Amino acid sequence: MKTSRRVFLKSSIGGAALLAGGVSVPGFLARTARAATCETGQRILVVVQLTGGNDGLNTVVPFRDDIYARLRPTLRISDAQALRLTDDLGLHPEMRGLKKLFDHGQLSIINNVGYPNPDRSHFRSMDIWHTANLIPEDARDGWLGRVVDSESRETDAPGALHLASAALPLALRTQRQPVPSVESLEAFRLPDGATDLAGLIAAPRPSAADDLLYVQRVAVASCTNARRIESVLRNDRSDSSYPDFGLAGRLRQIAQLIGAEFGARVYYTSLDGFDTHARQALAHGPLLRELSESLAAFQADLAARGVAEQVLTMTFSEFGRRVAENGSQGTDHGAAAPMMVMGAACRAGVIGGPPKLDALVDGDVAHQIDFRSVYATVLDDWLQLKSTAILGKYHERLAICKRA
Amino acid sequence: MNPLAPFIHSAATPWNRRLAAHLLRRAGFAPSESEIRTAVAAGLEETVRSLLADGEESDRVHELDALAAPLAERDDIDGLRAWWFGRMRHTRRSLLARMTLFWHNHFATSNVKVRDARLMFQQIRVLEQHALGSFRNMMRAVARDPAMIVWLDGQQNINGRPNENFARELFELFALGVGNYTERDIKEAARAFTGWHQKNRRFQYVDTYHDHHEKTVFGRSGNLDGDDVIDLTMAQPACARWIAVKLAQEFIAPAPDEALIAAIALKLTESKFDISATLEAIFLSRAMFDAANFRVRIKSPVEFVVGIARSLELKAPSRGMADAAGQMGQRLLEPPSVKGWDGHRAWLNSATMLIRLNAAARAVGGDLYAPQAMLDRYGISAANAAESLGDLTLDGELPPPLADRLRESPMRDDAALREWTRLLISSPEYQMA
Repeated sequence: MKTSRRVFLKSSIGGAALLAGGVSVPGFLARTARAATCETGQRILVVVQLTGGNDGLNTVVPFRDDIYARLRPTLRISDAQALRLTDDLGLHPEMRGLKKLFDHGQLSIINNVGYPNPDRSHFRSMDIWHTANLIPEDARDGWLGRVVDSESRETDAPGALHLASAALPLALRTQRQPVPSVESLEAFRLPDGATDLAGLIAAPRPSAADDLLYVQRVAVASCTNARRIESVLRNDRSDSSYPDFGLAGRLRQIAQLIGAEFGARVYYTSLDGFDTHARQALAHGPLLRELSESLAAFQADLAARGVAEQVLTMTFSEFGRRVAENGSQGTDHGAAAPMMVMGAACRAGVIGGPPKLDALVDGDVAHQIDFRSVYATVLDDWLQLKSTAILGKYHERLAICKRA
Repeated sequence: MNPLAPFIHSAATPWNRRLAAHLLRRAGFAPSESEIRTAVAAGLEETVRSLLADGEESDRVHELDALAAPLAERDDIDGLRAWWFGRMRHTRRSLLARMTLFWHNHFATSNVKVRDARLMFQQIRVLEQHALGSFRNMMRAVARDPAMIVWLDGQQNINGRPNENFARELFELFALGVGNYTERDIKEAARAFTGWHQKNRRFQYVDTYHDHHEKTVFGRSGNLDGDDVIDLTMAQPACARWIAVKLAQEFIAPAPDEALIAAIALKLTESKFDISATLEAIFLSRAMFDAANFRVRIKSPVEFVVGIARSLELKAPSRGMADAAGQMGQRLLEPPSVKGWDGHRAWLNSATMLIRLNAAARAVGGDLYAPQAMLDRYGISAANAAESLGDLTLDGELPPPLADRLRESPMRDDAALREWTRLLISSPEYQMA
């Protein structure tokens, strides 16, 4: 039986609480149990970063557009190949998993997303997306870091978690609460024979000052988390349902953490390799397949764990790619591109329509939707925060989420 | 009573292992058995003198230092970060290492923007060079440091188009704190630093970019340049106080009282901002050894990781230490902002604590740690092994559950000593310095 946090909490209301490992926690630390707990059913945002600049035109394909066909002599996806979403747009043929989610009403595609005066440097454009600031040098933190720092409740749970082998992205940079960055869930398991640790940590001290009590509380919470994660892993049967991709493995661990009520509001991972300057087809198809199948398996797993209603997943990339392919059967850095938002709360559909390829700016797709509008929607309508406080100004919201 | 009045040891508060370990932990990292024994034998004054002295480095540090420039030259920032950890692990000048780290957090510069390991390496060397010297010279050097010039947009600060980034942080974070300057002071100070550029990784003053007109900063007018602004800034009473607060938080207590801050600020002013003289006064003070100030600061990840390696004499790989501290929330050379790391309680949440517990288990569970061999070197018998490890890590002040365990089970063989050490360094008390 899965010990839910709620059951665990109820048992903590009288003086002593039981940790999942069967260790008694004295009343003076019982606040930990409350503090470590996000309300059951708390809304969670999962962000998947597509690193390198994903070719939006071959992801959400304007298969009817003659200009697209002409400028992409070797790379174009034909009418017959595209997985049709609307009369004008279809997904790359490797994206069957996400097509199915679209058909089941769980995928929202926002097309032609970008920002004014697009920067074509990977670093600077990524910084712009990460900070939600068109002059990222002015920002001291990331937009999701501000979500973490905006948490006013006393909580021992980390506000966000980065699960990838890369360094912590600027998006998660905070000014107050550190955001853990781990390569795998192993970092949150305790070694064998560590069962007695929680008891030793929790035992009352004769004269503990406030700060020591704080450390005790956090340490007890971390042992509780470890137990919970351990128990989720022990009973986990989701292995077979995920494809054998790196991204799938990371998303699976995120699903496990969500299942274990780890407490983070934001999870962040990435898929690298989208900088396809040469022989793009060899790389891009497999990447989109990894993305699509991993996301589909993740969504199915969330549903199986009974938490699908709680989770919204969003993808983004630092820019799209030039409309005209280059001489090496690749594409160079471009501008606007689609974002995808997946979840039970999504209003399925395509927001924004086909790209205007007859009105390119410097050879690139011009943006019609500011990426900060997508952020604002996710902040206001999903995380129920004040987007103006996080983003510094008002941005129009889009019809991505179903009405609550 | 002046909190900086000298501490006088007495029968009630003798100079002993506990006090020596406290001083060494604060003025460096968690000490080894040999460091504690040396300090106990030498006495307080001599220990402080040698912490501040220009001592000879270990061979290991010389070997490491030969590696640093090539790492920086290859722009290998991960390698450089690992080098820094190796150096902190092996240095004999633990206070110098600690203060270099302190200034890295004070003049917090991140390679995320600088994107050049050579510049970051140069900056560490600048911080180290002035770490125990004159704060004025430090400020002058930092204002000319190429990494800082890139970090706070000095390169864009040009006559007629001033960039205020450095001037603002100079006042807000490096020297005065919010509320002690006006927006006008910032605008005028920025003009004084125009033309302070860098070229080919060297400071370059470009006269044609410099604004030679009159500026007014803190009510003083003239054709001011950057050094004038630094002098005017340091003449503000808020400056000594600002640095005093930071030193008090680092060395005495996370929420220092007013009397202590005032006393340290006075010492800074009287010594003309001589960092060594100020630290000497702090380390010899009553406040330093006030019982209420023992183990009240939450260790930073770097203190935690390097302290374990030094006190347990681990053969810890530098890169492993760097990665572990990074996972715990302190990736050196990439502070979260120019404000540095917030520290204290912000270091710990249920995830970062778990990462500490796991790192503790890894540190003592394998080949890196040889408890019996270490204890043998100090002539400690198997019968006293467990107790000695408690002395080494927690000054013998075991919390009740650990004290019970020490009484109840013998813990003499290798496996038991490892497990015991793991419990000691996983304890809430060990997270505090």
